[in-house]
Amino acid sequence: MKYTFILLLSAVLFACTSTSTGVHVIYLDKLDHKAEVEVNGQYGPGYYRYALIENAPNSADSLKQIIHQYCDSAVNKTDVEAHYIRYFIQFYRLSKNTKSYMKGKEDYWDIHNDINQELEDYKGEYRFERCSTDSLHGVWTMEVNGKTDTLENKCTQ
Amino acid sequence: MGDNSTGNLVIVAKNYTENGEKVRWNSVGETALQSGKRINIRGKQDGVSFHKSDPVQLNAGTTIKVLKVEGPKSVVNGNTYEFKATSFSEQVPDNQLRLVSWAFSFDGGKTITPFKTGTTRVEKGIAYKSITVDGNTIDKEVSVYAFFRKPDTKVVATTKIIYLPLVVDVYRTPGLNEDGTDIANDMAFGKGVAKRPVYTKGEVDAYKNSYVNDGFDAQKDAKFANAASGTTYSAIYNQQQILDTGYLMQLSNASSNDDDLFLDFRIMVETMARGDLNDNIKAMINKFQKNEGGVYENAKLTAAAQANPSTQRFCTGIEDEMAERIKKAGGELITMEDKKVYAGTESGYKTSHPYGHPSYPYSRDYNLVKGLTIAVNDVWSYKVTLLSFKQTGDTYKARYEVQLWDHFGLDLPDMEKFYSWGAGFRAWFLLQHLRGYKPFLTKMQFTKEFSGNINEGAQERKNKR
Repeated sequence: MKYTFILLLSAVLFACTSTSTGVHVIYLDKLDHKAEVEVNGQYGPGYYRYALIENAPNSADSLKQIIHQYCDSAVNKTDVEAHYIRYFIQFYRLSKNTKSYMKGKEDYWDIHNDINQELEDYKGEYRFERCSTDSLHGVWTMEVNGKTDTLENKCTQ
Repeated sequence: MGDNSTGNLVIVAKNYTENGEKVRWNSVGETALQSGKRINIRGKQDGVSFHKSDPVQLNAGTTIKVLKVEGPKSVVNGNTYEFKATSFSEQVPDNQLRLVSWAFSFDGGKTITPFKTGTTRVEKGIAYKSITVDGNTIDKEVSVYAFFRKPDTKVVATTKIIYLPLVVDVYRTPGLNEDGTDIANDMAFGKGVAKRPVYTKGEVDAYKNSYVNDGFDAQKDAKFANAASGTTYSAIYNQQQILDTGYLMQLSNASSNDDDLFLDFRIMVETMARGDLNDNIKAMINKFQKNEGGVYENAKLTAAAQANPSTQRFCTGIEDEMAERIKKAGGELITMEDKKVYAGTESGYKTSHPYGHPSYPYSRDYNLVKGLTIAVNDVWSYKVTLLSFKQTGDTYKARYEVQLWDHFGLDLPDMEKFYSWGAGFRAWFLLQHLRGYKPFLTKMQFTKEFSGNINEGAQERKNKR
């Protein structure tokens, strides 16, 4: 019985450790922002969204995998392509500074606390932009650690 | 001499001299004088004369030519640069290289003007010329020629002229919304009758273009600071939208005249700024009450903004960026200019602008109690311009100007949150959007200097700190 208890305790401790180092994406729905934007001289609707990554890894490949997995399930690409000329989800590391954005814009001072200023915690983005020469299609890209990969390019050359 | 001309006389000597009262050489054929170096003919008393009917031909084929001139790819107008003649048609001793002449042209060689002075220095078979470029902003290039007798338009170093100031970085446009498509929400004002868009695309595009190239013009761009004469309201919110923010908003509106609302506003800011910045916020409210729009500047506010850690971080970042551009261009300013107006939402923006923009939120650096938060809070837009650049060897000194802009106004998202329950903010919002008081632009402008080495970019500078 004594050994069973120790085993059980170890399992619980191990479980806690695993959870604390687990990677989670926290979507900041209160920061959703739609605006008239300009992309390559075209004016139209834009949609900007933000998310935090808890325990964000440093490895670019791991980050890509996390962002890819998250966006594959969270983004309706057909809907985005039909409605927006620019769309992105930007990802930031969950930190002391970015934690407050989970509350959204609760008061006057927080509303001007712009998450775009949290550059030390910026990890990357998943983005769609309408083609410059083709008003029906666009390009999907993913930027991680300053390097941008084209995921899908439907622009007619 | 004519009768016995059948033999040959060859004299070989290290030094050979003929002396006589009169010396005469006669020849039926050609008389040749050849020298490996120089031929000197001296007529000490009466000079050197040629028979009047004998043509004198100077054989130009023996003239030494400059074959190559080199210089920098670009020059900053007003700065001094060294050009060099590096290749010649034959080997020329250094003392003769001092005779290399220099000329310049601003029109690709149509008009070539000699420099009044010759070679500056000669070293190891290369003639150097220090040149201070004095273009007139229309001139885009200068061509520099090196020559012995006359310039050869093919032997030239052509260099781009860079005129300062140069726009280094532009973030958003004062008075416009974040994407530069219409009025910024917090610059709109009126009496509760909304009308969008406020500006036409043509107006906005022309303003953005002139702002980047010529700067904000208080007269020409008055409209974008709500200062144009005969300004009509630029309301973007309907009365219902404004009053729907809450019961207290309705109460404030129903029970307060304009003076009451300004009193509420002033009472609120008393707690949010102290010292010089308390005087500043009062001056800002006074300007708001005058309902004149325009651009507000205050030396104390500018000094406080410049000294703020956020601004200091921004300046360090922008200096690193300029150093990086100089390093990548091999010490030149060819890639320094960037006139694109960034909205901050472009792809790759955060990577290319790792310094962000200054902001003074309440939660950092004690901004709330100092008074920067209420006066500015967040810089809406900025423009950085390189004013001067002096290079000595590999090191340089540069001076640049920072313009920070903000809007003294509120928008609806501000009001829909917690602070709509604060009488001062409610008053401000009502005065702006329902009583027609004009928000205005706040401008903070200062210059800074930094020094660097053309071989050190952003990373090298960071490593040194």
